[in-house]
Amino acid sequence: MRDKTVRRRRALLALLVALSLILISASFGGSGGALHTVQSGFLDVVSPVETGASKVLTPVHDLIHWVDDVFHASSQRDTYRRELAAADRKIIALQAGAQSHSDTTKLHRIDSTLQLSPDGPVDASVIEQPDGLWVSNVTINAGSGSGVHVNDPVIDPDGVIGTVTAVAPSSAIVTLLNDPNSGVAARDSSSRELGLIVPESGNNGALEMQDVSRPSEVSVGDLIVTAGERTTQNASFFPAGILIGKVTSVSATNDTVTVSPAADLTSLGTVQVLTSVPAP
Amino acid sequence: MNDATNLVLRLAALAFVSVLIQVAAVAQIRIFGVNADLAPLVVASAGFLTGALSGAAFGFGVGLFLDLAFAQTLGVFALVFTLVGYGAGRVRELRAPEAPFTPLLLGAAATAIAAVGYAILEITLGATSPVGLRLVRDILLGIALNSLIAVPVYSLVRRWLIPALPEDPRRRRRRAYTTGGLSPLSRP
Repeated sequence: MRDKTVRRRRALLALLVALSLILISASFGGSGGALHTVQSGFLDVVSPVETGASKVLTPVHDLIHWVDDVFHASSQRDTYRRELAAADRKIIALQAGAQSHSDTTKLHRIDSTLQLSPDGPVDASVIEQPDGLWVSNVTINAGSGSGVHVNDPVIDPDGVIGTVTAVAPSSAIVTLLNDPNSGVAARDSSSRELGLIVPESGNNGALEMQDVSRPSEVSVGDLIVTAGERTTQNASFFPAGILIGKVTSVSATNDTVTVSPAADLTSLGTVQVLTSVPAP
Repeated sequence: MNDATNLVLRLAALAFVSVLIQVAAVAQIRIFGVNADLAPLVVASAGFLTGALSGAAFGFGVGLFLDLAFAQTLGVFALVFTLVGYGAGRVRELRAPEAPFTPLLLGAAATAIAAVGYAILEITLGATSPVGLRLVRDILLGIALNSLIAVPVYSLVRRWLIPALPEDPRRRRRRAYTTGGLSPLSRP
């Protein structure tokens, strides 16, 4: 009984395999004309059913496509995010490079205009900005190793920013113009009036020109530059003619001249330390 | 209608519907760059449930239907699925595996045999498609994708065929309930 079943099973398998091979041989290479007629006839019959089934299954089809698209969109979004972050980093680096280049170019133009080369200018970058309302110091990445000394004047592309007050081998602290202990001898470039630039009391962002002998000669809009001499004992010494700021108001009642600093003391980038200014 | 006729009708309906779904929907959906293929899963499931003889015949029918539907060389799918159906039936007859992951392994093996067998036949017949890493990658992805759907496909096929199977476990349970768990022959 079992042998009979086995024989039957094997016979059927052999029959089906043989039938398949015959079909392959007959239809291979377009040789089976009759079979192709059967095939095209079958397609004619089945095609409408397939079309109907396709329409019925369209929502399922669309759903799977949608899921596939969502995954695809998700991976695309991740790729674009990575590319955007890389592009942002590149832009930031380029902008920083461009800003630094622009600052250096401006500084070198100032050096050339004011003939500061003998004053030993040393380029440096601010590595720590003023932190908070009461702090008016910055740290730069040049120190005694670069020839920087205490009391060296420091400028940026827009004008005077302050004086070196502490030096380490590879860094230095610059006390800005708006520090209460700061004082720079200055001159009104129009009227030639001399004075001392100090921070305006109660206003961290503005400067005041004190000790002006004839304030009435000073006008709003006048440019204030370094005097190139020590007007008082407390004044730091800067080479003459470097821009400090612009006069914003002149008070006739108490002879006060208010000056807006040319340099943005809250956001400093590339600076220059004048390391060999000859003593007055 | 006796069980044998019922089984043949159910297998015919299963072949028709599965090929229709494959051609009309599944073949048009690409996931991870490959299509799922219901045919090897359905043939293997049917062969596993009904035995080698029915499995081979069912595989031949499904394969021939696909050959006709895809308008390609007749007999290629028929030969491949005959072997898949027969093989699945023999696995059941020789090993009778009961492990819960059997449908998954069965689906993966059936898909692998169908894909590799089809590729060998096509290459033998002079197909010009490139044979290389791309083909291997597509076959492996196809196996992985089919393995994911193997268990639900097996469950559906089993649910559809089980009323016509001679070894219907529900009947066994019913008989056990009415006879107190013993065969009528073993009653004292």
